[in-house]
Amino acid sequence: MTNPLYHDIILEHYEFPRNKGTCTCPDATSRGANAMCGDDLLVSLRLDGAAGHVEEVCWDGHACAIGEASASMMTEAVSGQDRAGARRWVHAVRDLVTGRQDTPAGGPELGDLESLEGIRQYPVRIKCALLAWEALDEALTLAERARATVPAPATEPALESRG
Amino acid sequence: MAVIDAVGATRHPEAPLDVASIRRDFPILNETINGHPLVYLDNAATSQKPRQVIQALVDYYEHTNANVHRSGHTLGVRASEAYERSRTLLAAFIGAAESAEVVFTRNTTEALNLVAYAWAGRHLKAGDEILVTQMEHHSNLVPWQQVAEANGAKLRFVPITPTHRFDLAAYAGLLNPRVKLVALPQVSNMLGTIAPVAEVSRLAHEVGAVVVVDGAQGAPHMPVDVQALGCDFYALSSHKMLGPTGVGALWGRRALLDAMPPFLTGGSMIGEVQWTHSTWAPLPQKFEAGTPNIADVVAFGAAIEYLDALGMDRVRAHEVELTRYALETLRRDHPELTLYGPNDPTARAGVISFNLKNGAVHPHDIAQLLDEEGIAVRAGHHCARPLHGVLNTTASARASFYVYNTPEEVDALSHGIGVVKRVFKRVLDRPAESGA
Repeated sequence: MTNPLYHDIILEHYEFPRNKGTCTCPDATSRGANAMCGDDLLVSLRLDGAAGHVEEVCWDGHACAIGEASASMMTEAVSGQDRAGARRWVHAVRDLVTGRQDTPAGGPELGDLESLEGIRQYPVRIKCALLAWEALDEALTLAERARATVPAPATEPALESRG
Repeated sequence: MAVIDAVGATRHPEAPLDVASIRRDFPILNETINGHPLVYLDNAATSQKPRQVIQALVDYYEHTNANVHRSGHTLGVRASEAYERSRTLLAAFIGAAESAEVVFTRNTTEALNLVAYAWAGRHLKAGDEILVTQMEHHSNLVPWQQVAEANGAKLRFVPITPTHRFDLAAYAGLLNPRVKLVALPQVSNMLGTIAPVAEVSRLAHEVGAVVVVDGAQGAPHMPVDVQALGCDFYALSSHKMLGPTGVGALWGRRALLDAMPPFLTGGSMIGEVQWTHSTWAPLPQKFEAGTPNIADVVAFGAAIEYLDALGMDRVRAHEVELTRYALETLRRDHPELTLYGPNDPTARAGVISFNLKNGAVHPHDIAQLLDEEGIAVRAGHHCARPLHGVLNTTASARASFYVYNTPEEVDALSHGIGVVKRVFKRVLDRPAESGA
């Protein structure tokens, strides 16, 4: 019996979640919670040295099967992507689950995430499917800000020592 | 106003409810959901309405509608009488000493806020204590948090026992002369636990505290007598007891209500208005500012009459039996279920929250798959988030019964849970791991 919503791929990710936990030395964390149903996820991510690519992205917390599977798939899809690419993923998944036709050209091949297409028929679950992705979007912004405030390598005069 | 049919009311006190006959009064029970007959098990969220209540609403607008307590013309008098008749019916339904002690509000939440603003806000000082329980619905918790913060009072929690009952011993231990207010649910909307309100009131009064009862899940499901309960305030909602949404009520002892300032001010609740000063109308008008939800109050009266005709003793007996059957059936068919609340059906109402293998399947997924079988349950924290923390979980699924639910519907619920288990078989078959 195949359930249109609970695709085998979703159940696989739910049973064997990828990248569950917190990243080492994250640049940013962001929480996605759905007050109504008790879903609560924390996405953490670390950019590489040049702050160009997502070096590591993890998720933690509790959510329904849709929420957790989507979070797991998110970490697989986005790991190693450059920041623009990661954001293209966010847009692509938003479009997929809300059923919008205007997916931007050059969007990523969805792979496992195609299994979320069934969400379109269940508007109540859209927020679950997007929980980790919205948190990722926020975490990317926070990470970019955090890295932008790190001072450039010193060519400035050394600080006077404070006796 | 139409006389309510005495449906299923053979009036023999031992005769059980004629549920088949009752079901014929509820048009919505004929709905088909996702190709299945509707099995409505979300009564703790809201109840369905019999045609008598729906018709009362229609009749009001077709024959009676006018503003109340203002106009002396025929329709005005008719509308006022219909509105006040509901108040009298409700007062009798809950055993109030007089109908002036019953104030119509928008819902239970507003009724509790009324007490928070107009009584607690004025009476609680720094160092005073407010006792609530771990079982509170947010509407009987957040207003007291606000009062405590504003007035410098301390909020303390009566725990539940390991069997999910009100911990009377702990409560007695928490009582002291600084406790000025005790608030509790007559019935927990998540655990179904029935609190020992009479004993709680007796002990509270010994230290001079006032008792506020959240009756949202109580009044629809069992006989309520505020004199026997001994409480000082009791709040309820029409929409959970076969009446329309948008109407609730606060009952309070006259001595307390008389001494309280109004909550909302404006038209209807005034005595004499001058340029810079006004006096207040007597009870209950003092607490009913502006044009009320007249039509729905009138329809609420029809709901009360419907319940009166059924007999609240029989309503309670029906739910005890259905709950007993449900607990037995679910335990037998699905030993992996965690069933919250007391095991004894006489110690609880027909509210059964549950989890599947300690949350291995999220309640949201359970509810989704049950919905595909036509079964309506609730998933989430049921506006009792702190309580879920006490129970070591974040969310649960909840089935809740009322007068029109049947053992066959319990069987459907059990079958539906079987469907959930099949879809999630791979997850459920995994050996148990710690800290999932």
